[in-house]
Amino acid sequence: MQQKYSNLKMLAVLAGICVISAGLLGYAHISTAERIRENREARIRDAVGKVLAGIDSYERINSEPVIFKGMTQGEIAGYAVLYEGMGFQGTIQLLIGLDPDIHMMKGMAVLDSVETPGLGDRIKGPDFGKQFEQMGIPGEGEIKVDTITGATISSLAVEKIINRAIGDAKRIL
Amino acid sequence: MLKEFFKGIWKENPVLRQLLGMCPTLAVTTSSVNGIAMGLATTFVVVSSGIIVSLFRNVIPSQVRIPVFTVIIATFVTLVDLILKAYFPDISRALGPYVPLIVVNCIILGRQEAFTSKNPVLLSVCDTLGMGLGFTLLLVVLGSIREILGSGSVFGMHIMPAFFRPLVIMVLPAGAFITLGLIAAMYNLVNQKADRT
Amino acid sequence: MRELVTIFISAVLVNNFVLYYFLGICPFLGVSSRLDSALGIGMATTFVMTMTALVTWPLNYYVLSADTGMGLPFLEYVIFIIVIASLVQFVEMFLRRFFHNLYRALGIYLPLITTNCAILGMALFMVLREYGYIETVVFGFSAGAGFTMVIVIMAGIREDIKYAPVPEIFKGAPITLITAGLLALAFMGFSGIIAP
Repeated sequence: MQQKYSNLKMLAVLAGICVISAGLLGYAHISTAERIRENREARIRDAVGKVLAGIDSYERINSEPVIFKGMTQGEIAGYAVLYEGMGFQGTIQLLIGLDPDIHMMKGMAVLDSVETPGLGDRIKGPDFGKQFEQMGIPGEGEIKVDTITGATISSLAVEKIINRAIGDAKRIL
Repeated sequence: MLKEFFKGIWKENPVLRQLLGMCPTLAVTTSSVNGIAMGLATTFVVVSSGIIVSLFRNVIPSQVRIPVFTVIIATFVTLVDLILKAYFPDISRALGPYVPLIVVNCIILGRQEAFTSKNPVLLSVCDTLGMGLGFTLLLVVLGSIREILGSGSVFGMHIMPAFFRPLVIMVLPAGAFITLGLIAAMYNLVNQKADRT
Repeated sequence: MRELVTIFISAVLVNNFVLYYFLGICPFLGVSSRLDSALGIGMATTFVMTMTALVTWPLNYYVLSADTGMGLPFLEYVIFIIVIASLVQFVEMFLRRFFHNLYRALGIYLPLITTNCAILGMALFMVLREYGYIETVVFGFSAGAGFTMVIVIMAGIREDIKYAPVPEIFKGAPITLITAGLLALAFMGFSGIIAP
């Protein structure tokens, strides 16, 4: 009898803890969900503003891949393609700015990457990013990047992701 | 009471003396800011779960204490994770999957098992706070050394002269192991000197 | 098939859990002083990791995930840790009952595994990288195999260090950490064998 009682108590305590924990976390999740979503959108907004400099509004026009259309005074100013691929260590997520005819890149921003600090993660730096501003896209649609010394693989990964993104964008737009 | 607090910072420092909590110690200390953030997040979790465990120490059946502690810890870790994501998105991204891994930081479970489940609330707070801050201190020291030598800056500010070339190895995993090894040797040296006098 | 081989090589050599992600450092430093115990904990970890992969993936996909499940991502950590703890318990009981020899070899290491962050880390990476079921299982096994490999190498080195004249203040933790650092340095040589 004693044994049974303590088994019941054990179960009760465990179940109680789990219920309290789930309830608390559910509440915390609901109260932070809105802000977490806003943070994510703010990041996208900043990045779109960066790769399509000078636009005054943008809207999402495609998913898979996600494409944004940027507008300046009612005219199409360019497209921004969200694209990801494998880097040296893990996934690299890029936002790629294109002009309306897809003849030129307007900019590139790294949204997410886990490249080696100090080496591969220099793809996030301004020196690497600058080469994509006003970079012409050759007829066959393959761009070439200037790789960073010590970050060759990361640089080439970026090149590959951009070329795939341009290919998709040409097909869709 | 002060004794319980200070033992965590030096004499029983969780990392240097007890070799606990190594994963976050080595993984996130590529910069001093990351070190502080991880240290404080861990401190928050160890103190708050310590309070709960200490409050209910007479209710929790001893056979299931480990699962109960673990669930309590995991709950607080999820809270920290949500708060970081909502209010400090940059820090949350920098720490990445190492925030959830606070759950399995042996320092936290170790403190519940060794101290808070046997002691009143106030003492538990002193003990866990001391351990948490001792952990934070070490993370900041390690993070600063690695950031100064590996990126030439500290807390994000450039301090090294222009001719200094960052030693990339310091921000790589190998640098983490070796730096911590040297810190642990210094710690032994100081303790040895103190013992002799 | 190619992806699976890539996952295997990457988890064992390039992004080794211990030397690259710093997961499972506690047993790596704590149980690596003897070769046979290192092998024991390595095998026990690999076993539990593969089991964890088998169980947590469906759980995440059909229950926790916001896209395909019931939308409870905030319970991820709590549920994963409960699953791992119960799995360890279950594996222990199962081995004790049916595979007595294996239990005698691995038994004492099993309780240590619950707090081995490599296992929870593996489950979290699986969600983060959006692996499919088979990929996850391969990943879990490879991560365990990588762990076993480095802990055995480490134990081999440490058995030799025992007879080396290490300076007094470097005895114990410091020399072990520095050895690990040199091992991590050596493993950096594997980086880049997988083209993106």
